[in-house]
Amino acid sequence: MVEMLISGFASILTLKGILLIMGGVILGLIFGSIPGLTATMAIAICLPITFGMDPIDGMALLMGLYIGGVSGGLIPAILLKLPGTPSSIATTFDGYPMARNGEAGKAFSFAIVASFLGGLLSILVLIMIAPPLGKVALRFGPFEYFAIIIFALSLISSLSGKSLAKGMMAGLLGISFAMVGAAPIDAFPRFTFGNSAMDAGFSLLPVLIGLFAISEILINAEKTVKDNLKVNMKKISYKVSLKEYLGQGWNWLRSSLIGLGIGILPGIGGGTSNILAYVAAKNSSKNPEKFGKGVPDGVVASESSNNAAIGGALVPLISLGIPGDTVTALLLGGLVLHGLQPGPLLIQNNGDIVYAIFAALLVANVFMILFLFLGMRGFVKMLSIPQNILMPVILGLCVVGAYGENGRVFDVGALFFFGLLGYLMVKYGFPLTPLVLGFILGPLLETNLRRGLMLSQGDFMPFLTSPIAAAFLIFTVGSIGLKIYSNWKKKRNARTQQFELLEGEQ
Amino acid sequence: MVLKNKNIQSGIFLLVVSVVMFAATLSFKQLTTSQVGPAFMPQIISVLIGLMSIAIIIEGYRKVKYGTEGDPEEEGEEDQDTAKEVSYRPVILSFVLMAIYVAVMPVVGFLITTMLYMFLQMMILSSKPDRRWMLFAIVSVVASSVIYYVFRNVFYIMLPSGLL
Repeated sequence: MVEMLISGFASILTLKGILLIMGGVILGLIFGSIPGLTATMAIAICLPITFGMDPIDGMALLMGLYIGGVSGGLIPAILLKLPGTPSSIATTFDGYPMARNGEAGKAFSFAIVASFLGGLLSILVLIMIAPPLGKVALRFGPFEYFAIIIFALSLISSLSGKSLAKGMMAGLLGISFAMVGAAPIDAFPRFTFGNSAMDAGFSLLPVLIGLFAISEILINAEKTVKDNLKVNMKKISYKVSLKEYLGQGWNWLRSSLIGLGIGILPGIGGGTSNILAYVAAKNSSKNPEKFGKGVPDGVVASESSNNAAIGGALVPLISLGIPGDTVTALLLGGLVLHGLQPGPLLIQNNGDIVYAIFAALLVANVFMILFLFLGMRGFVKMLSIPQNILMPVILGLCVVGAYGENGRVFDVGALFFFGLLGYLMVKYGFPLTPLVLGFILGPLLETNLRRGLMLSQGDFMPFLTSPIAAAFLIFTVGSIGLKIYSNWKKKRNARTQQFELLEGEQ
Repeated sequence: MVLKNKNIQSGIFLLVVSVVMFAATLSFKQLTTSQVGPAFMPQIISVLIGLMSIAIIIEGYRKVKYGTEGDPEEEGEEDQDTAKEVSYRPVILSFVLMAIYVAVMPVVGFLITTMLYMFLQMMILSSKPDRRWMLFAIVSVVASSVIYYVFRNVFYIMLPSGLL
């Protein structure tokens, strides 16, 4: 393993590799720090650029974007009380009060160091557990794969929204969109409505960029209000004593582990982990009443957990080929575009790429902490670019991204279609993540189902008699049952609370 | 009253989608001897979509009937939405602009269409006193040209050149 990692470092520590990771981290930090632009968007726009590169270079760029994109969110969270990305929501709780107390620099120091260490821990865990997990998964046949995909999809659908039905619906719609065009195995054209442009189906990039970038632009169009972000950065001091850092040790470890665990579970990722870690830190603190008024503990909890979710989310992607969140869904798309099938075979056949990814993550993490400390002033300046100028330019990039993959104007049309769909879904309260994962995993699901049935000559029993497949199907039923139960309990609690309120008034 | 609920609207729409989808699968032909052909998955998925849309309609109906009791969190979010003073005109204008953009691009080419698109989109996104014509025009021209030349000559992505 160590030799593999060393050769991984050797393959990315070229001038080109380092420049790509640096560029990725900087661009990621910019996208992460500007509210409205996200890490997902940055990766979606940069995916087409990676076409012409060899896979290792492409992955180096994408890893830089991922780490930068998640980390950049802390800047506006602390300075403006605006989370740059959903991963930094909990950073605003204590980061902004700290900044208002004149401790912006201190908040930055804690947040940046926590991000670095949280990320580092999770990358190390990823390097340790992904390869052996992949080895176990190598023995999986179509039955096991089918069950795992069902499990991942149901978990994603039930966890990513407030309504179970809407989450499931989004996942099902994703699977349906993936069905347009030639069917797997026999290539029968489906749902093309006689239009030959649709024979090839929807490509991944227009779907992803449309859902995550165009919809965001449409949402931004709703508020034409002038919201120029004015930040004055006076001289700030990053000084924090070593003792203060050490005092956060436990908090850091707990938050990182929460982030890691949440990251590994498909479908939740950084957006949830930072809030959970914050709550956990508050509950176990000796003075929870200070939270929300500017304690470093809150910043450390949020920022270490969201970066720890990075390594976590990559575990199922690299070992099983199942993405843990939207960013890893895009990375999966990136691997597929390079002709690499993610999953256990990836480690087996393309170990060099997997270890290059690990090495790139470690390097990107170091660049992240360097650039955040050295270039803070520049990133803060970026915040004042008005959205009404920025968004149309971003859209131009989106169009290039969608068009570039196949050179079809049809894809640009699809881009806008999915942009509108994403906008409507957000407006109607449907989560977007399950749709993307359904779109990516749907064809895999169908292929494995049909392959399995060919193997068993049409018998459905092996899906239940294979112990691994059965276990995952039981988990699936269990996780959906749990969600229904928790929804029911929440409703009951809300009802009794209302009741008590009424009683109290009387 | 009932039809104004977002859950009911989207549920009914998706129910129709599931029926259309199922109907479309009936014309799929079996090309292999395998028991499960190309119509199998789409049929299962369309039935599931139908079931979920009914669940969503029921959710919406409960909400209308019992008020906020149904799902307190979701209600809260809707309140926030209205508080922000959402205006749909720029959204619709933006989408129409995007549709025209796609239609015109193959004829006129990426560069010119994108410049015009960016400029008009900036105008749509800005409130009247914020419309800085010159700045918008300069940014549109410079940004589209940079994107066009960088992607064409550095990343070798061919973009529709149209009239140029």
